[in-house]
Amino acid sequence: MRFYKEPLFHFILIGLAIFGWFYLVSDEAEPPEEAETITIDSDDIALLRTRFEASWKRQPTDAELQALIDSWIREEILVREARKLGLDRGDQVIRARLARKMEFLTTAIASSVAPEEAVLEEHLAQNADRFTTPTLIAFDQIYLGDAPDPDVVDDTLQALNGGADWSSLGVSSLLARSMPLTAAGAIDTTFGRGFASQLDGSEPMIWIGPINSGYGQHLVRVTEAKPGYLPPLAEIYDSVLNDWRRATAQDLAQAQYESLAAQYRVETPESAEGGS
Amino acid sequence: MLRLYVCSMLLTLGPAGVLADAVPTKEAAEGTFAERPFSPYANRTFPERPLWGDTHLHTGLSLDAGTFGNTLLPDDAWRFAKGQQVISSTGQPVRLARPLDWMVLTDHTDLMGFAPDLQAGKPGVLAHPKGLEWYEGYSAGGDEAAKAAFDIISNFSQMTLPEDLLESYSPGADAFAFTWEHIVMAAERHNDPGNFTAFIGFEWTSVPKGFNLHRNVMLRDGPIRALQMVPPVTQPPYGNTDPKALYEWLEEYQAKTGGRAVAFAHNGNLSNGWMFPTEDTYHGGKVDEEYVQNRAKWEPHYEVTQIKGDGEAHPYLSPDDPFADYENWDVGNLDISELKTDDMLAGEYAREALKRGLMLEEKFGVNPYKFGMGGATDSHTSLATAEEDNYFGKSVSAEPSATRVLHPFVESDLGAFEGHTLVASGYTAVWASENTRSAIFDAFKRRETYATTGPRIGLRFFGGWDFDESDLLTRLVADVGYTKGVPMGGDLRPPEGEGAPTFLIGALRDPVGANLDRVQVVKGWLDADGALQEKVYNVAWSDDRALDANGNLPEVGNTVDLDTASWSNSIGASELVTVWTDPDFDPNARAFYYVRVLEIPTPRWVLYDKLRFGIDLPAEAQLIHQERAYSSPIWYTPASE
Repeated sequence: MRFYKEPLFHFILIGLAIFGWFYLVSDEAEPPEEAETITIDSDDIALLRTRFEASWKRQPTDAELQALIDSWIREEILVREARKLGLDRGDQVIRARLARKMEFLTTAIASSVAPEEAVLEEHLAQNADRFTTPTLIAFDQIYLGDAPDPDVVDDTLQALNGGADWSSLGVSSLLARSMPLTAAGAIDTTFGRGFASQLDGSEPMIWIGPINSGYGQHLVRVTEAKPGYLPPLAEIYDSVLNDWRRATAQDLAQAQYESLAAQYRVETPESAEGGS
Repeated sequence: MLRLYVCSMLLTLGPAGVLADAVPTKEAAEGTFAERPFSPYANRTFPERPLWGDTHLHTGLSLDAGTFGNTLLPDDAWRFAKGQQVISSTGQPVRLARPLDWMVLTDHTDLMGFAPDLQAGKPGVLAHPKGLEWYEGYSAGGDEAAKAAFDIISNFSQMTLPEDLLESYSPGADAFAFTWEHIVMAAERHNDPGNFTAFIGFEWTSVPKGFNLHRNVMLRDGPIRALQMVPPVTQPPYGNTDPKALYEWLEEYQAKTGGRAVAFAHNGNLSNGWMFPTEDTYHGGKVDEEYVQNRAKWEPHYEVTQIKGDGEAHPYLSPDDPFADYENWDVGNLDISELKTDDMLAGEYAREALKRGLMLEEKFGVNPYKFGMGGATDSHTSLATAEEDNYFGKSVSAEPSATRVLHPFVESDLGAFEGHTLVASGYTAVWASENTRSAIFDAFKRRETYATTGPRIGLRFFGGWDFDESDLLTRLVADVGYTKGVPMGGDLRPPEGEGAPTFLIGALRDPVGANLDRVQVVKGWLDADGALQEKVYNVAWSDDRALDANGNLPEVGNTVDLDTASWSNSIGASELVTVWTDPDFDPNARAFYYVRVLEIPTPRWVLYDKLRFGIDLPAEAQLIHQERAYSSPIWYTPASE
């Protein structure tokens, strides 16, 4: 059963455990409302102290602490009564905050888990394009103009193959005649989209062409090429880990949402009409 | 020239072995060639192509960006700049047509990190009544959210933010330090020397009474140095809006960490005359020796064009320049709490500032306004878009929608910056020999940069005393330029003989963009009477046009089809090169020269909106424009007697 090994499955389990735990704890912390008892325990007081200290950089005095407790009780009573009146329902702020808290649960899981190396290896392999270093190409180019006569292209190519001095051929231009080792994307930025891909696999030191650029046609010889490669995990561990966390947090949030949404039947005006 | 000659000799003769006697051994020669075969650039130290970037971008960590709904953080901004697809804050997939080579991420330092906590409704924010009120507005969305955001920003500019909220997000607070760490480490993760440079930076947001005195800061350094300090703010008691306070911070940063930093201003057009003072500073100081020295030391660059207007020139200041009227935002200050009057303009625009710099140099011996030119987006969406057909606006509320052209960007009782006047501009090109923090930063220091309003126009500009027409035929403009002259941003070498300075200029259109209309040289000088003068020369142009007696050139024409938002490169030129000699040179007058390149007319971003959303535009919306590039100047200083 392969899915036992899926990290996503593990997260859903962890997620379920956390939701379950919150369910239990919150049940305990908020006694049934019929009892109408408000209990303040030492944990609550410790929390009030900590909050005060965070603002004022000192411990509250007894009087201040009592005031905090009183206002907490006041807030608690008002919150309970507000709930009874249904004031929490339809309140955009409360809804937004609750939805946000649910999302935090999943992102917190993704950012706290330290995945095994095998998981990252797999992530690296599946997203190889994102981590592969760019192919670098160095080349010389001769610009032949916007739309050169095909004869000119052929003649120039023949001259080059016959050993002519390349630096005196072609039309004068501001374009660099020799590009040092440069990534394909940067070559396209300079010469126009698709220029670099026309040089793919061409043999070094052989003039080829015509090659089309944003400016017209060129003859090109690749002088050096360094193919891109996928670095081993150890070299780019942090990047892969970050990328995995970002992707996992997204997947997890979506999976969680879908599993929760599966428990609901959603009726919109159209589906309500169609369903009846 | 000698070097060039030897170079080409080796190239032509080397392989044949004719020079074998001249080198120690044949083996040694072969060894050399094996490592760098036929490499004519082996000994070159100058750059082959400009590196494109954005010096000014905000993410959701910035107070205004985040409160206006930007939920994208630095990681998203970096991925986007590198060419990856991201989902914008309004849920739209977006990607750059071409990745950038580098970027400076400049979140506002004041209340840095507050906005994400507000979005998340963190207890610390909700515990405060004002925080709760803003959170309620933010969560309600729509107009309520916009109202909350405006309330936050106006409390910020009026300096009436609640004290304890301010304290929790200012220097000294954990949240502030952690946000800085977040910014620094995100840049570090995305810095990829050789491929993409991610600069650590910030925006120091001085805007007293709505007068924009903002400065961006970029560091040459990595986290080890950057994390030894937290960036400065402007809200008292944690900071101060006086640029002197920023200079002190910069001084301390360099002394304490051994790092290097530069600052640069933007949007003089929204300062109501306070950006480039000559007598009094906004903060009650004088433009004195200390002021000019600080400004010269820390601000070698200026962001001349961006989303909130183009600040090169203004028609009131340059009545003889028909192209000065370009995307000027001249209604008032940043929040339009004070309207603009004509007398303010001279303290706002780059060309005028460069002229004022000459005058101040005459007075103090130091030029405080000796800056290079750059363009930036200043986008608050985490998305560095400056292309007309892929424009994601100034803020989340101005991301693509059928209504964005209709909503004013700023509106007050006095006036408005209308939504359709936002500018899809700009980028900075840097002539740096490698794509690293140190190489690009150093190019900023020597001002070897130029601005464009978005298109990737190539621009070479060299000044010297003996360029001539034959230099255009060498096919190696850069070789000649660097050998015989100085590049943009430099000072002309002392004159040789009697002649006037000569300039080697080459402009190349964007490989996927519009043709070029013309190349102009803008000259400013201080005349014998102490008056500041300027003149714009047309020096190279396309098609079969001729200058009239006054040096004016007929318009290039217009091919824009308003029904399809397309144009044709049937007019204009792909490339314009020239050698230009100053016909009015006065060896006794301080002067600067910079190049302005104009494209043929193309559609503005609003035309794409009109067609894609099928909407009607306000009658006054500009549909077409001529995009442009501005080089950094080259200065001439007379020899002292």
